Amino acid sequence: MFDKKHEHLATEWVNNYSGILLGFAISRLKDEHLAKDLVQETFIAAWKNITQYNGEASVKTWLTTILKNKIIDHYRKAATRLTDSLLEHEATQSIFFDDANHWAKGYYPQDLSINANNFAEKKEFYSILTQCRKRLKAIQDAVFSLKYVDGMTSEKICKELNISSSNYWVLIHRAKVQLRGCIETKWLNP
Amino acid sequence: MKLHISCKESVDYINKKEEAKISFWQQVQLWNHLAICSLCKRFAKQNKTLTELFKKSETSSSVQFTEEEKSNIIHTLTITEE
Repeated sequence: MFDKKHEHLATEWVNNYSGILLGFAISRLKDEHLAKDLVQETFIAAWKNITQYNGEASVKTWLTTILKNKIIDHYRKAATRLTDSLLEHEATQSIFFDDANHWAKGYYPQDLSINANNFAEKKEFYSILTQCRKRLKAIQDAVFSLKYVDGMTSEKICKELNISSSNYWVLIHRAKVQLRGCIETKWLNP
Repeated sequence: MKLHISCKESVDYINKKEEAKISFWQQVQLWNHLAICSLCKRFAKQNKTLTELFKKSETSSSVQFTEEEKSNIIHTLTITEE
């Protein structure tokens, strides 16, 4: 079945919104292939439900909402595997502190002196952050993204991912400790 | 109630403080710890910088859809029933 009008609309959607949607997905997912897949799925889901589009919101907002839901679904799947990942990470976590829970030698916090107003430094920082986020567990990155990229409160994140508040704190804490360690290494020894 | 906390606990409090999730007493314990521990003090400062940068997260990824990928999506859509 070939319909010129449909092809025209599909082309318009993809040309106008695929870049924006991909940018949205990539800042929330560390896996670029997955981000692309979810954007494609978003277009398909929207296409199938085009009759439900009421024209009130802009097409961009409508597509972004669908994509947002797909990303949250992905995060939830990572959250169901939570128990394993929490245990697995116990070992890497403890290297930062010694037996007395004091900073371990070799893991002392360093002065980073990042100048966020300097364009080149800022660019370098975000490139390092992207690399370091790839090392996080999927669930840690999910929590990190909801908290910092979407600015959600801890209560909302727990509800969205159906995790306990104590699990949330463990996750965000470990994500940050790990990111900090990774950023520090890459920032000071480029 | 102990006044002195470990570095590990202090890091935990610093993270929770970000969302105003620590009690007054924990705040006192933290102040006390930061007054005597230069490493945690440095961590707190560094953490503040990082948190601010995280909040302004920009993706540095230059990943784009290739023309081929775009036409694949368009093709998929045109053969998908509405």
